[in-house]
Amino acid sequence: MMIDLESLNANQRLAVEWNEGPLLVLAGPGSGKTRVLTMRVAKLLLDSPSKRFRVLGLTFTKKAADEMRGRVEQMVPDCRQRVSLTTFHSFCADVLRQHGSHIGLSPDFVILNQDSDREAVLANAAAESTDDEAATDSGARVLPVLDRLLAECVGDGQVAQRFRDQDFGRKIERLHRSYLSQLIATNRVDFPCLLLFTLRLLNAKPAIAKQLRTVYPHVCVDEFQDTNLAQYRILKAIVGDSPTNLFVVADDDQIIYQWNGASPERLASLRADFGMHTIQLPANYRCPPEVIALANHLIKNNLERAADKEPLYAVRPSSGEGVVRLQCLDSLDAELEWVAADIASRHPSNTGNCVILARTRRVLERAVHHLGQAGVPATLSIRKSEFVSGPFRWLHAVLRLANTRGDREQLRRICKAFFELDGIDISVQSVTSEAARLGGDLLRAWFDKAISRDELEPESREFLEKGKALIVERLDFQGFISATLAWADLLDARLSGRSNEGYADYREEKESWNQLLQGAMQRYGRDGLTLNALLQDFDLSDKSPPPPPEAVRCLTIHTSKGMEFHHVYLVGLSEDILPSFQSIKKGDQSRDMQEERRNCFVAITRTLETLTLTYAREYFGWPKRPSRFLREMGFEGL
Amino acid sequence: MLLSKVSISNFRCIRSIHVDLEPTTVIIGENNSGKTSFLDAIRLCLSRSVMRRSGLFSDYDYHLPSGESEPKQADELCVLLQFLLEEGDDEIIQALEEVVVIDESGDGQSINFQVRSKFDDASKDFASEWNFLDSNGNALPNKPNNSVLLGTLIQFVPLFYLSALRDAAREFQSRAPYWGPFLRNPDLSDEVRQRLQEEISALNEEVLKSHKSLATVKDRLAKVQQIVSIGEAGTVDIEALPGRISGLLSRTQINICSPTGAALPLVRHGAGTQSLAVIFLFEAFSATMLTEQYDTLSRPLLALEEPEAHLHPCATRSLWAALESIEGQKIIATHSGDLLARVPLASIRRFCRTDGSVAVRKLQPSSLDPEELRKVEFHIRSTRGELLFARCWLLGEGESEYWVFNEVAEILGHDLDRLGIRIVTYQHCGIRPLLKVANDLGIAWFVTTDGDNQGKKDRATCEALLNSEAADSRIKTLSQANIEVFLCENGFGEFFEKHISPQKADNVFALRGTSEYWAQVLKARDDTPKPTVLREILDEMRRRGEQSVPAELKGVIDSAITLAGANS
Repeated sequence: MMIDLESLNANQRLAVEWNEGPLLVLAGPGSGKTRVLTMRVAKLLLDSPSKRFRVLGLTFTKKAADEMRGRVEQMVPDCRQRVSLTTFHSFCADVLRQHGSHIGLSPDFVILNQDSDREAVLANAAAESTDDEAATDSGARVLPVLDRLLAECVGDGQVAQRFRDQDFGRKIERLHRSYLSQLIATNRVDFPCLLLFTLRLLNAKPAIAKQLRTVYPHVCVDEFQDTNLAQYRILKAIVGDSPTNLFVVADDDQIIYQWNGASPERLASLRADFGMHTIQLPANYRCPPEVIALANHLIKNNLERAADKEPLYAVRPSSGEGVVRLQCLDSLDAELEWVAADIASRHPSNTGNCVILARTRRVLERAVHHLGQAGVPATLSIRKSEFVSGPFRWLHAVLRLANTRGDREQLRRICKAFFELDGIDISVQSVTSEAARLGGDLLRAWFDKAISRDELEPESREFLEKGKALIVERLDFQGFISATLAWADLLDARLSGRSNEGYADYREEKESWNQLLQGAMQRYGRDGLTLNALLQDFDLSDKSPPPPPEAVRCLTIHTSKGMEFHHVYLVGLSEDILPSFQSIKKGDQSRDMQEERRNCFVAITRTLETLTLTYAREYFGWPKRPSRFLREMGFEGL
Repeated sequence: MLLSKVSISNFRCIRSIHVDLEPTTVIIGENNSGKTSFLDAIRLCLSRSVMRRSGLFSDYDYHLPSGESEPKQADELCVLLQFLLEEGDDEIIQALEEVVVIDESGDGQSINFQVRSKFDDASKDFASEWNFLDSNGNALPNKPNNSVLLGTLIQFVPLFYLSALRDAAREFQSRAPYWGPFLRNPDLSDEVRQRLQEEISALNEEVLKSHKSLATVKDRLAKVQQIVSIGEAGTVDIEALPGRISGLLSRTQINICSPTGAALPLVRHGAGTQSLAVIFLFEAFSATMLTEQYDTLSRPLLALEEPEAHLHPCATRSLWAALESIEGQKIIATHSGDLLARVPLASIRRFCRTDGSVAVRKLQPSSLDPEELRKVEFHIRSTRGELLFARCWLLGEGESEYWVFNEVAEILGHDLDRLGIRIVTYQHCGIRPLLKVANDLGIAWFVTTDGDNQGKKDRATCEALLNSEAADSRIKTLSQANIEVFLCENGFGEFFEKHISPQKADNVFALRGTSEYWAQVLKARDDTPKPTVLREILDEMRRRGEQSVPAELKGVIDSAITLAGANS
């Protein structure tokens, strides 16, 4: 199959065909960067049909990785064995499973994706560090401090000096050390440590990085501006000191994850560390020229940009009047009511193409309320790290236990969820003692215990007997999942009308479960999908349900990154809201203020057709002035 | 990529063994010591059927600890193959990345592949499971592309098994695995093919023309078409030569000149030549056809049994260089001391049965210093390679001991060869390197030393090399200064007295019968070589019968027999 290089503009094509050392592609919003990246990957593969090296593509979201994989596979069928398009976290998880033995991890380590689990580890760590004071500190308070240290790769022994309060610093240092060793000792890894442990491993055994360089002579990174320090150091370790085939796509005007460790300096280090050549992609294929003009006016006020950054230019022609609207209202509620009414006045088939963007969730919660009042369906997505309904908690825990047969935590969850579902109390203790007789197989023991209960409903007994054969004996997890869903549907139907805590969200979660399962099947092929791969996929995925197609999406600017919408409503364009109160306090030229400006830039460049900007004179009882960003965009007489 | 280590447990007669492999490894051991089981285990685990959940092993592949054991109750069978990645294996690493792990040391890269199998109560059948392992021996996650990776690995190290029975008539059939590929799809250009075809039919015609009687046959056969319809006229054709290149090639036969210069078909040659021809056919196959049939990165793993079969010892010795030159990794099982004469000691693995189970031993790299290694390479390996096959070494100082032990054993009615006992002299090699080699390779040893000062030193050397055994079960220090004095003291002195040189007779003055006297007698010996005198003594001992054998000597032989018995 051929790739159509003719469809690219001159700079895009230059980037796709680049062959002269490390390259940085500075790509503005809507500039076709994903296309450039996927075509480049496809070209590398097509140009080397008899070779066996692989191409590594690192992204920040699974969605981006899946989308790129889909496009590459279209251009180069059968390339699965030669390309790894994956997120930093999932790449690190794979490295740790394969090589973690060198830092004390077993390949079947558990990924902790819930803060409550991490807090429990922290509590143990506090108890361990024999520090009464630390033990009394609640995990919830210390966890964010710990996260900061982990994201910034603060080494053991350098923790204390980062705190003004020396006593507190030493306390955190002990806790930090003890937390990390607890994770290793119990074979568990949380998200930040997926990165940190990988970094430690790569430093401890340089042969691993050497192996990765042998296998992946070409490394591509998407959305580089989002990398935190740990990710950047991992990248450096993988590509070595003088990479010739590092291909990085970034936009310094879209850095909006400073709070997560991203930084404009990272791009500067990249250029300094590797002497990157630069190609810019200023052509914008997404937005109307009116919006591009606003975006250029706005962003040039940021001083910490690449010195030579070219302004965006619109490829699309102007579609006429009414592309950009500005509306001022008296209060937040009036503002949101106006927006709701405006959306309601559109053709119903158009509502799904509308998005309301705001700087904070607080404003969006109000927006959902007002849209509801106006009779417009709306959804506010929340990242969900675990399933919450009984059937899925039970199913997920059974699968995890099937994958790691000795994991008592999963057994505890199975017992708890089953009690909520069926009202039958099976104690963890009774199962573990039964398991001792069966050579330690907790899963088999649980099924045996459950099936032995007389009070089981006939359907449940039938299901459990079938389920045991499927998952315990044949490890047929796909069959087991289908059987479980059929059983849960049955219970759900029986419960219809009556409220049952365990079933809240079941139907909604069934949709997201099926979507995740399907995604995994596409990724690995139906026959290739293994339980382990499925569970790792689940661990690293958002479990929130897919939004209904007709609903208006209400998104924070951060979550809207990488998306585009026909009609964008950006609300709350007032001082103290966007830009935020904190950033104003930091000063007009502060890094925080520049990040706020980039937030605004990202928000307006989501627009395909129309952009509606609104602000109110008063928020939460306080009078506010219009946002400085409106003035910077060129609006006058506010 | 090198198959560097194989660990097997509960497979046939093997309870548990760990075998390190070299680019070329030579395995030795008595019959039924597990050599073939070892090779079979590797072969099964590198075959395509390893991917199936059942049926890889047969019931009798499971280790049965006793006669009453049932395969269903057998302990889990487990085979671990460790492949070491080498310089230049980058493409292999690229292809198999997910399962290449870093060694504990942090330098080496390896692939650890494990197959386990046991009776599964749930499915009421034997079930096998395979995994790649991390550097700690834990199974790596079962990734979606694991079977692709395993398939690729097997493709990269195709295993070929040349068993001891190499029949040229079979291996050179047109469909045989190594010969066949050469005959199919000959690499002829269309032009050449066309020309040859024409030349063949011209030849054919000429043969038929000059061979008149065939024309008659052709005419008669043409009558067939008068009765049944068989096509156009001239359908009947006689081919003196096959008309097609492929037909011609399928009849290709190999001739080798006999000593008289006459070309003889291979199958008319002796068994040794045939056996060798098959080995070199494999070499040709592996050099030219392998990457075509497998993968450009494939390197064969050749398991070769008894390459020395039917060969003269001199031919066997020169065989080694030829085997070394075969591409790929080799595991060679041999019973030939002559072949071992050429094999570096470090490449030898000795399979032995101890306490009823199989153990595999090798010379530890740190055991011998370079000087000792040189001595052992000379005195044992290159001149007496067959010693490495022994169960027990009976060590004595020199030639005298050699003759005495041999004869005494015979007089006592023991067949040392059958018992696996070999007499080894340590005068030239030194005792320490010999015992280290024996200890490492699992060869039992019994040492006799003289009763003089040197003998006592020798004894101390031996004692230092004992593991936990009692010294007396392994070492005998003669009650006399040396074996000759010992024999004199034990009633055979007259034979040396007969050989006192008249010129030296005056030197014999001590009281007859004392040790000093016998020492003087021995010193005053005439030109007759010592062994000749010993032979006279031994003949006499044989004449006198078993009871004339001194108890000390009997004890030595009995001890060696006990040790050899424990080692079988």
